[in-house]
Amino acid sequence: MATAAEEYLKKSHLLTYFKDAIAQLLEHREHNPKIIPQRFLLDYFTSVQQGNQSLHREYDYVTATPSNRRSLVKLFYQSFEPIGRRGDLLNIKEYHALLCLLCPDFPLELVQKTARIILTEDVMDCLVSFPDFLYAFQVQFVYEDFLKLCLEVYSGLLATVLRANSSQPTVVVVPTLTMSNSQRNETDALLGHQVSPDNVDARVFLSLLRDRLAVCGSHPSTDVLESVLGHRERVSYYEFITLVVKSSEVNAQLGVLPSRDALFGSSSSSAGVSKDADS
Amino acid sequence: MEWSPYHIGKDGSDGREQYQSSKPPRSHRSPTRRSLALAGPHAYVQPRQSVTGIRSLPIAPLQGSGMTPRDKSVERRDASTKSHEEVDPRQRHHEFIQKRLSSTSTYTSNAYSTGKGDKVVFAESPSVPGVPVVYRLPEDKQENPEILNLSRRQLSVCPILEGEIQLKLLNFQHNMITRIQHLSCLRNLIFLDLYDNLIEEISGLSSLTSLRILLLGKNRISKISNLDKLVKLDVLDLQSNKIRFIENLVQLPLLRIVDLSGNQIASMENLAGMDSLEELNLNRNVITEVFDIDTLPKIKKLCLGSNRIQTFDAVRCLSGAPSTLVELTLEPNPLCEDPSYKFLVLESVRSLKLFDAKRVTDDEYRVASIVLKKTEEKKREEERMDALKERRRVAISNAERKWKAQQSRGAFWSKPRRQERPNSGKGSQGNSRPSSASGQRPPRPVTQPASRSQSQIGNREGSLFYFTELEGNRLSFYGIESLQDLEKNWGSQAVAGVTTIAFNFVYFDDIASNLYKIRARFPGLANLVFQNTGLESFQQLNALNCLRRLESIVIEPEGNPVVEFQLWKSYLLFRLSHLGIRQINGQEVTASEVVSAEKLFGNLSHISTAKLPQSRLLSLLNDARRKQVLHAASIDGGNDASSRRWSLISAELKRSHGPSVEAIGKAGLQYHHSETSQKKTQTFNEYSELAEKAITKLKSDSLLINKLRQRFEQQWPQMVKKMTDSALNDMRSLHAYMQHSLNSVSTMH
Repeated sequence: MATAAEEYLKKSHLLTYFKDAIAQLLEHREHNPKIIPQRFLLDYFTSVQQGNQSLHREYDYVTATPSNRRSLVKLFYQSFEPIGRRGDLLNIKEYHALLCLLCPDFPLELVQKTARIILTEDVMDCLVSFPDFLYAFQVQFVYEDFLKLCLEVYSGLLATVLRANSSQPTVVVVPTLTMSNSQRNETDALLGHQVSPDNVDARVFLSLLRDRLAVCGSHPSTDVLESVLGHRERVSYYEFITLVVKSSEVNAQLGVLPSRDALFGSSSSSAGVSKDADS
Repeated sequence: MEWSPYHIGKDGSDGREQYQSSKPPRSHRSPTRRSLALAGPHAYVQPRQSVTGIRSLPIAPLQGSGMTPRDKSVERRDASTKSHEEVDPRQRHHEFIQKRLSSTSTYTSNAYSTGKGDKVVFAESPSVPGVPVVYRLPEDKQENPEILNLSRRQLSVCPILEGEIQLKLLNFQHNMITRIQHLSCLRNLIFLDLYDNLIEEISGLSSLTSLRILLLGKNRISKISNLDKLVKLDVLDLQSNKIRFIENLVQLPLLRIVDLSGNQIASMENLAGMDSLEELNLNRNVITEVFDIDTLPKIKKLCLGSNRIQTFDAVRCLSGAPSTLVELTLEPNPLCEDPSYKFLVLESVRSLKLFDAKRVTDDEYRVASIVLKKTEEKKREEERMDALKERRRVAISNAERKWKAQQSRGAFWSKPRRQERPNSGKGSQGNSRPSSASGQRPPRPVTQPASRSQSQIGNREGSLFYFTELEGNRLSFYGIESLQDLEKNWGSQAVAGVTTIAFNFVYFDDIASNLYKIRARFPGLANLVFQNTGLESFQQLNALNCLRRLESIVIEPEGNPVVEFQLWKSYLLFRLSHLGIRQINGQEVTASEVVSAEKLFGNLSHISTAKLPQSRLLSLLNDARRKQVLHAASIDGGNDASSRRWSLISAELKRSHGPSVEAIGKAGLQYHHSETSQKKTQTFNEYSELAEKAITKLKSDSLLINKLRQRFEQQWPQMVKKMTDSALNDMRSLHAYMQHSLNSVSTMH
């Protein structure tokens, strides 16, 4: 029974928020001695509840909980929605610069990864439309761990397929959860250059993935994943990710962004934002 | 028609003796008169006369004089006491020769003239067919045994002159002679005039050892040669030929007058050793350089007009000219366009009496020396400026190199620096040069009242690495370390006048951390220029919000990746809207740009105001303010009187609530450069640790309580049942219970 309580604390990240709230309170009190702690904490948790807690916070905090990640995605959308509405095409660096306005130490690497989903290559100067970036970024950022897991499962599967296909045993990197970054890069290279089949059986991939979803932080539900894959028989990593990005069900499950059709078109979403802003 | 004093019988067919006045009417001067500079040293320039001019001369007196008997013997004329006017022109001619013969130093310009073409008989030599032989009737010969005029005879070869051994003057003007020949027997010849012929080479003269005057003007000679036997040569006229070099003249020890005008000579040279040379005419050549003036001990007159002399350096040897040089012509030459040209020449050649055909007075010499002194000073100043400019250039290029070296070390603009910084700091301190660059600065304070600019040049380990200059109202920083010059004493007036600051090869983060300082030091600052500052993100632009005002900003694309963003201008306008920017990168900001910027980024500030908890907003606001205030306090000279500091802070806070305060919504859009953000995260981490401890304790406590509670919840029903069971048990036999209770009470006591 006790473990259930701990489980709850861990899952809800309550301790993270408590800790942050107290640290903030301490810091705040230094400059504003007249602060009422209860009031401060109320404000704090209200903003957490509303999902605004990630605004102008450091990257460590923004990535501390899935909720914080979602909050940043939401804020990014709300803040720069007029830019998207105008139809500007920006390059990846510029999106990164915009992100840095919300989270000053946001790493470029993550935005680059986002770009790879959209462009399927490392082209930093390519122009990307706002919705493309937004949805890819949402998946990349909120499901960061999930994507890593997908890549591991995918490359593992690919390796076994390869091993089965090729008669002579070659050195194959068997991906594990504890794989270091460099190893993963090697796998990446393996994927990109040496492997001839660039897709795997979709069913097998999904079932392998399903087995390991439990260890992953936040992820789309298996039902959604199944419907994402649909009737495809074979799938490659980036195809899969692109499907996830494009899936409206995934988006709905995240509950952060309006559906792609309603992004700018409907006045209700923008009204919602301004209503939010006014309240 | 070129006129020369030596030319005899200009108009031979006229049959009349022509006379050229020594003072011709000035109105007939023509532009080519300088080419006639061969004239005598005091009669100087003789104008060229048009034919009509000659004709219109009052010749009456000449005719009068022409009446004088012609049979006067040469012997009678040797006493040159007669005035020229009274003498028959031909006599005068003789007299002229007489003078030549007696080597009189004065060389009159009085034109001699000859009479009509001498009566001669042409025949053909039986021995040399094709060559005419010239005879004179005995009476004619008797009349003028020493003079023979054969001008305008259409001669294409030099005729053989029969029985003319006595000849002293021979005139072949205006013929078509291509080669000098058949003259070797004329050992007494003193005067040979071959003006206006077709001669291509100087030759056939080697036996004319008595020759003193040789006129070869207007021919086709391309080389000065074969003159070395003419040791008595006094006057040499080679004008209007095709000569390219001055050469072979040094062998002629008595040569006094040389006319080389109208040739293709490029350099005045090979003159050393011409100890008798008094006049040298080099007008109308292509001379660019002048040498050897200082080796001509007797030079009096030098003409270098219409050449290609560009600089005073080309004629620098003028300053070594002997004091005999009294007349000099340099005009026109490219050099003459220099306004100080005249003074320069006068200063270096102090003996001149006539310069570019104008008399030179003592006053002019005085003026010249004054002007020269001034120009000299100016030049020195310029040199100093040049040296300074050179230092500037070196410093800037070094700064650039250093900048680029650092850039190439990392893909990102600001990253290499963060790693670099502590190292470089340690390095320079380890070098036993504690103040690195500032200690090595040139000791002399660089102040230039002339250009009203100051510059500071950083100098480390012998080479310059950064550079700062204040020019007018623009302050420029070059180089990574140059910002330390912010502390320099530029002078309060200069500082107050600064309206523009330009940064080159300076990391923006360094600039950002100094912006409050800059704001405080340069109250007039309204324009900023960033070039090669590694500006790469929108948030860096946030740093500029602390300025008081900003009318224009220039962010050069070079070394500032942020300019590649499409939205950078909009963001700049949005973020710095309270500063009222009117110009970005030289372009006027339009109202619609401001509106669209607000539209694009307005949500940012909306969200900040609406969604941030009030306390956080307040703390963000305070953050920004605090920075200003703290800085203001530190600027105040470290006066640690805390009361004063607090009053200052409160004043600052009050002031900043004024209308110029930026919208609260932008409070979150701050730029935290590495130092402050590090400090901030450090303190925050301390708080986090504290919170962590508290939370861990809280967590374990609450978990324990939770556990106990759960256990209690679990056991509570059984406990109730047990208690009920025993109670019911007791109640079953009240008597027994009472007995039992009594027993227990009694055993207790």
